[in-house]
Amino acid sequence: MHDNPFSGNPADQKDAALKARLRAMLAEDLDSAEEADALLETVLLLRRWDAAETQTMQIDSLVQQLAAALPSETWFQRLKRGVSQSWPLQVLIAQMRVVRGAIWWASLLVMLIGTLVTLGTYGQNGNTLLPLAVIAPIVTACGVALLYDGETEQMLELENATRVGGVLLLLARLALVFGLNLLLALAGSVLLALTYTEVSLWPLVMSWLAPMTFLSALAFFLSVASIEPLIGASFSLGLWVVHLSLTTQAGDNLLLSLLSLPGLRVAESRPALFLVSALLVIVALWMVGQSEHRIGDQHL
Amino acid sequence: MQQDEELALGLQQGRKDDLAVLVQRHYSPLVGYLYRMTGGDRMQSEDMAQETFLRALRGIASYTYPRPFKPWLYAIATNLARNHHMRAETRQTLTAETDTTATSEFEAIPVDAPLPEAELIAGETEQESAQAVARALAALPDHHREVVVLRYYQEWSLAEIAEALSIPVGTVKSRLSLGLRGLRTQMRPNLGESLEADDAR
Repeated sequence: MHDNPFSGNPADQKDAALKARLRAMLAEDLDSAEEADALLETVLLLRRWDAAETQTMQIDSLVQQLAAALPSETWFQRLKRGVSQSWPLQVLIAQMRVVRGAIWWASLLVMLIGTLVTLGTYGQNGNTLLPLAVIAPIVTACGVALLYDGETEQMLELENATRVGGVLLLLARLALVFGLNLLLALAGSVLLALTYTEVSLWPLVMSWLAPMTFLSALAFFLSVASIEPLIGASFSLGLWVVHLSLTTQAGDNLLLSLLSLPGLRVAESRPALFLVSALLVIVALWMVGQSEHRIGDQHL
Repeated sequence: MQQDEELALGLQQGRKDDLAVLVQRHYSPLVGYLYRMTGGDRMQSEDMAQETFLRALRGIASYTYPRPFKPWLYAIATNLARNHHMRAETRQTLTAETDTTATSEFEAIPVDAPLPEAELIAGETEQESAQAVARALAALPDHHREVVVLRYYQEWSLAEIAEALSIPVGTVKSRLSLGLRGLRTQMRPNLGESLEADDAR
């Protein structure tokens, strides 16, 4: 056999290399060195059937012909492809499956009821506080609080091994849950503004948006800090109930007015509420990042 | 060197330069694959390779990055080869029913032709040896031939073959094993003699 790898003949060396390569492939395919040896001759014989090389001119001519069939992308298709291939969107889509289904359905159901009750009771008894503005902040806060629990913390090590990392995955889930509630509350507000012409959309949106952002950020922060979603959800819910009940009872009582946390809904405090919310989320995500490192170090 | 998958994105945007690189990179191996799949019909394999690229371009919008491009392209080629065999077999059956003396269009290597066991005799020419291999390959079922050609001619990994044919790696391995045993059975009588005689030459 002409397969001596030490032979000076390049053709022999090429043959020997081919034989070694094919034998390795056979051993991998058949999970047996003996079978690989038994079938090596068959495969070597197969390789003697050559297909002639194609000419460069033939390929050039084919490229010219195919160029006519190249797709011409419209601006809309380019935009669609750009969006569908952007990694933030892919992360968001992937995380939709991870978030508990109950959060989506609970948000949808409660927001729908809140909107219907608001539509049905608007203008009755001179009540200025709309049910939608009461419900939206606390539903969102509860949903967001449920994003981080002991199970999530256990998954951090695995998530940290992904290309995106656990912190960004959690941020994506936060954006998804907050985003859904934002859209639902916005849709309810638009419906209300369309039904009652005296309702102005922007002031209505701002009446729930600032407390919703703050209570959600606070619930998220407390869930991460305590690794217990119930603490985050309960604290935000308690704060909101205290605020709503004391606001109506405070009257001229200075102490009650102070205890009712008036800053939660007055226009002047909104910039501060958004700022504090952003800080709370940043600190919470930083804490998650620290947990990732701590868990990773424990397993080294 | 730019990856195939990045070049495929270029195709979606209508870039001719990326098309040229992909055709230069894959046309010859693709013709080689189809040449063996069609029993050694050179013109047919070239036509089918061109058709493969044309279909790939028409369907390039359905390609999703970063799915491996090469298995995606060969999946198109494999479907064409399967259709070709089905048509050839149908024609052969119809021809045999109507005219026993007529030859079918797919006459390069008839799929159901009996394999002369003593074909690979010592002293036969390279061409005869190649024809005997072609006959043995043509006698295999399509799904065995596909994996054998992709593995032992194209030298693809098991995972690439599994991706192109949409089957598990375990199935690829079992088909390879069965395909090789089938080939060995058909070539056995004079297999050793042929190789020794060739080496002696």
